[in-house]
Amino acid sequence: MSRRQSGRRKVFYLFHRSAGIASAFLGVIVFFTGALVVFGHDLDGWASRDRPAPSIADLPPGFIDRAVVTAQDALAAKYEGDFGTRDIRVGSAPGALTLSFSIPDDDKRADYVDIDPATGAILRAERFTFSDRVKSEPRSSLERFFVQLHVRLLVDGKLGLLLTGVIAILLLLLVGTGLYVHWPRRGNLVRPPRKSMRQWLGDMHTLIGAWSMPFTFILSVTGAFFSFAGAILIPVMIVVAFGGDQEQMMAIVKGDYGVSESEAVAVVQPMIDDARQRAPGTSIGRLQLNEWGGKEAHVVVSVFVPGYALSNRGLVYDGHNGSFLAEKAVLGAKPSVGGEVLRWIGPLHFGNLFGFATQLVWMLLGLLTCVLAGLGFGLWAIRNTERSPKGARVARALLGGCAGLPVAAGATIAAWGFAQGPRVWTAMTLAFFGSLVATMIGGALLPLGRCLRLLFGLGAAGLAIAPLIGFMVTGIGPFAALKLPEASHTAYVDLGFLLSALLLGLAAARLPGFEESLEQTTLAPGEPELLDEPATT
Amino acid sequence: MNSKAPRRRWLREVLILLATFVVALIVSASMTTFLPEGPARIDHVIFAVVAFPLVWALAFMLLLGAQRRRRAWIMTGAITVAALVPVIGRFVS
Repeated sequence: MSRRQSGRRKVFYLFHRSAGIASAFLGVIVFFTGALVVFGHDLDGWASRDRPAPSIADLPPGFIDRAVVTAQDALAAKYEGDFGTRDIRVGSAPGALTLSFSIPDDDKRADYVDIDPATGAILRAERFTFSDRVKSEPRSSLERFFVQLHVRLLVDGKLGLLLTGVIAILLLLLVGTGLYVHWPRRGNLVRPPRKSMRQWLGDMHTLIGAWSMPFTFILSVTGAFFSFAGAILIPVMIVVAFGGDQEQMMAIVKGDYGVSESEAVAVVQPMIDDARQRAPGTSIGRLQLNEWGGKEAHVVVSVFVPGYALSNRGLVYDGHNGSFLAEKAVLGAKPSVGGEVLRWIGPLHFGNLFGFATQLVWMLLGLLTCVLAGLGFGLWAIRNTERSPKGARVARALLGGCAGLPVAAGATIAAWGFAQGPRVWTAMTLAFFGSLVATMIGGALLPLGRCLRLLFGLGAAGLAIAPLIGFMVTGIGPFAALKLPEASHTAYVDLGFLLSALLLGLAAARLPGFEESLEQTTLAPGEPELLDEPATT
Repeated sequence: MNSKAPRRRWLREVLILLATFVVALIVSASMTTFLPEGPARIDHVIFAVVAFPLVWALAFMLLLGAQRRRRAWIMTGAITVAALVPVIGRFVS
């Protein structure tokens, strides 16, 4: 290796270490909650298994047309005026058909109307920002809490997106510098970790990092895309590419499908029936009634195979006469490379490429990234034990926080169960961060091995009682759920909780034996913790 | 060992991170002026947004790992100015 390469390697190694320490803790919260929300849809179904989301395709004929008119009348009466042209989204949520109506000149709020799928009556009609809407539903708030924690660390607005965007960029830089420092050769990828505690931590960190690197790269690039696109890039691009004309860009994104010239308003039901014939074997996702009541009125019927995001298709119908116009491209009116790129970005980030199998792999790899960060904190703690006791304590606190994430998740589920009502979001926030702080204090004060055993044990207990919490809230246990066709899949969520609890319990039980198997030796002078660690002094 | 060295290193890393953010933002914005719009007429924006984190990471690693730092900064500055020209041209024309 040349002197120049060696110097660069040292700089990258130091950055990798400091950026890892600086970003890993918030990063671990993002990775852990991201791993949970891979199955967010199932978690939401589990939390509302007594009132499943209605299938749009199975609603009585004409139900959606009646629901749209009912909601429009209710909103016109509520706001005392002509209803006018709006974009309407029709979807399903636990126990309700939901309609959201855009508000002219207000891109932050929308009118949300929930319709009872059995009677067609309005359950509630409120004007919300998306963020407030998310917090307003106690039952669905469990999944949404973890989603908001993952997407914006519960910080509202663009600041939260910027925060997670910076974490994604730092993760990308950790991948890049880690690749340069520990270039994965065949030997590195299969080398068993050495037996000294601190070398075992370092070797496992390198080994897991090398194997999970392609996944981490994909997650960081797609995550940065989602965070920065909404927070800063799209507004900048609108200014540069479209001269600041947001409406022009939206018109291009929606696409011009050549709707007929008419004042008539089409009936939606025949479009749903036609979509089912054109895409057999798929489910109806949601309906977009764009420019509804206006000249450019058209309807996009989304069809998909659950768990296979790449199967998503949009069928476009004329909003005046109901005739089929075209299959919708991802962006704009015609298929393009950019649209195809965009079609892959979501599934690559969320793991719903090819159903349950890829979702499970994505969840496990996400959790592995948390383990990677935990090993890094462990290494930092042991390294500082002699050099800087204060630094070692901070590292142990952060490691305690990492290992305490299952405890925090269990506490959040318990808070959700016991605080069903308007204060559920506050209760979950306090439970999550309160237990995280408690686990960090435990990490700082207790010996490392004992702390990990305690946290794994508490995490196992927290996750083991989750099925009971679900039963307490919904009144339906896993065995009863198996007998309900629309809720049977939610029994697997209970199984997932119990399996995770079992694995954590096993980890807690086997930790002392594992600790004994490692040599508690200090390194000989000059002996590296990481096999390919560059000299930094 | 110089006790100020780690702090100076941190400051340098943060400075490079901020500077390369600006570089990536300008280069990505500039991409929308010369990349093809495609049949959907919005491909140039999608490519630019996807490229943003990659440009940021690449520029950061080039500046951080540069052995001839001054030359690296000058090169990066020149690329940024070159990228800024078509962006400004959009507003002037």
